[in-house]
Amino acid sequence: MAVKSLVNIPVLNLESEKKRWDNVYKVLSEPKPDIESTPRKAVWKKNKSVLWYHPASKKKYKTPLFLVYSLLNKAYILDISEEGSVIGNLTKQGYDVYLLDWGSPGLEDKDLTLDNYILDYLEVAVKRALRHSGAGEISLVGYCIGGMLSAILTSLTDLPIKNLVLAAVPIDYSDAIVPGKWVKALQNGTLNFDRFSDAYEVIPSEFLYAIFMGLQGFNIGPSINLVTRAHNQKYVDKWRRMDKWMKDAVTFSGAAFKQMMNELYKENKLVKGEMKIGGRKVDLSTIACSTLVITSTRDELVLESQSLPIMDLITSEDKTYEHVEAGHVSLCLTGQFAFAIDPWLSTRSTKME
Amino acid sequence: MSENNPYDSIKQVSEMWEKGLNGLLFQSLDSNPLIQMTKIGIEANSRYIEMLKRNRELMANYMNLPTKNDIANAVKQTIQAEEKIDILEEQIWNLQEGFTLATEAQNKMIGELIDFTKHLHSEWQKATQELAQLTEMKKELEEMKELLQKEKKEPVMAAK
Repeated sequence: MAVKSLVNIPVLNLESEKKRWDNVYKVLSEPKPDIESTPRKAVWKKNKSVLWYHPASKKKYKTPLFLVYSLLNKAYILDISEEGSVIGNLTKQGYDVYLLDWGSPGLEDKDLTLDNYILDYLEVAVKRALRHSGAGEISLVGYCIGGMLSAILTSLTDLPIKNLVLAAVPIDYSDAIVPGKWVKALQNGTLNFDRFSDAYEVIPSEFLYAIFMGLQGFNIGPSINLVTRAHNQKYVDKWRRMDKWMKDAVTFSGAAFKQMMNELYKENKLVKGEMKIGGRKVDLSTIACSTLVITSTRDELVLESQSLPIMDLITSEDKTYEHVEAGHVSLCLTGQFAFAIDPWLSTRSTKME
Repeated sequence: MSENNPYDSIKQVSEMWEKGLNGLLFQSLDSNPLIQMTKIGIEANSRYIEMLKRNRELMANYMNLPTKNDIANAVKQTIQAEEKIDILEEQIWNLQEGFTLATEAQNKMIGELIDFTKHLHSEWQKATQELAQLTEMKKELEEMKELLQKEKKEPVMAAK
């Protein structure tokens, strides 16, 4: 059906064009797709949080993985499609995977602080995973804010954490992705969100969505990508799932938001060793387990300079730093994350006899 | 698609524009007056939300209607109950583990007792056999003694 032209005029395939615009129309008019997860079982539930267990297809390692995703987004990005699923790929690689889904806080959770998230949810969930798996040790894998929470927990807990993987993790808040004057305004208190957090009690998901959209600026890339590749059904399916996840924002506890703004963005307490969780000082130098830190080249939310200081703060003898070719979201979306951590983890996880 | 795909050009141009516009946006946002305006906006919005919430509570109070706060407080009780169940579950686990350890120790002790009893039994059997042998030996000795005494008496009589 292709129409060849003698002069240098763009050549279009009519069938392909029909498919392209059909798909674009479907994306615009049809409801968002359902996302099916890899086989899983709820091991523990508390409030809105659920600890999911994804068994390995063919178990190769005794040491299970415990995934901790960000508090500011939904965790199903880690299991978004069959071939692009981080969890799916990890289970195929022979790991038993546990995922803590934080859920979306309601008004009753307005007083939840980072202390609660770390000690009452994360630590208990890791304990439960250890008990459920019957393993003596566990590997903790944290992404974005989940990475920060994982690092804090590792520094505080007595639980047997064998390996720690931190991806796109913000540790140093002296710099951020926003313009310099805004960072300074947050640091010197010109911009203060205390009253805002108290007034809303729970930060609405629309507000967090607006922040993410604002940080990305003019983000016409995804729409252009859709139109240019809409004739490819596989790509359209993947795009629709990503689009659903992007718009499916979560609420955030007002107390935790205030704590993050004041203790991290304003005073940068974590990197200075002044942050207190459950009344105990967080000293990242107590982290001595094998640690892998991953940053991505096109990260649009967390700067490389925000992650790097952890390499000097921890005392682990076995520590690795990797800078991979990806974006903040695409690292998970493509399932690439599973392949980025497997070579490192496989040599540090206890193999089945 | 062919090498002359117009969509590739559209993509390239859009990427260029996106980059340029984002750079411009980043520069124009980096301004103190905008930060001051945001600050005022946040304050005004917070005041407005506070006022709304006050009025909502006031109205609900007059009309005896439950508010979202009342529901949240009720849900908090459920969460507390959930936490208590979790603690109880952990305590039951600890007890189970304690019982398992105690049973293991008990089984080990019973095993040792059985071994000891078996050993005692075999020792007892050995002792019984030895006693029987000794009794036999004693009997033989007594018989020998009797014979000796007889032999002592008979030569004297022969001399007479």
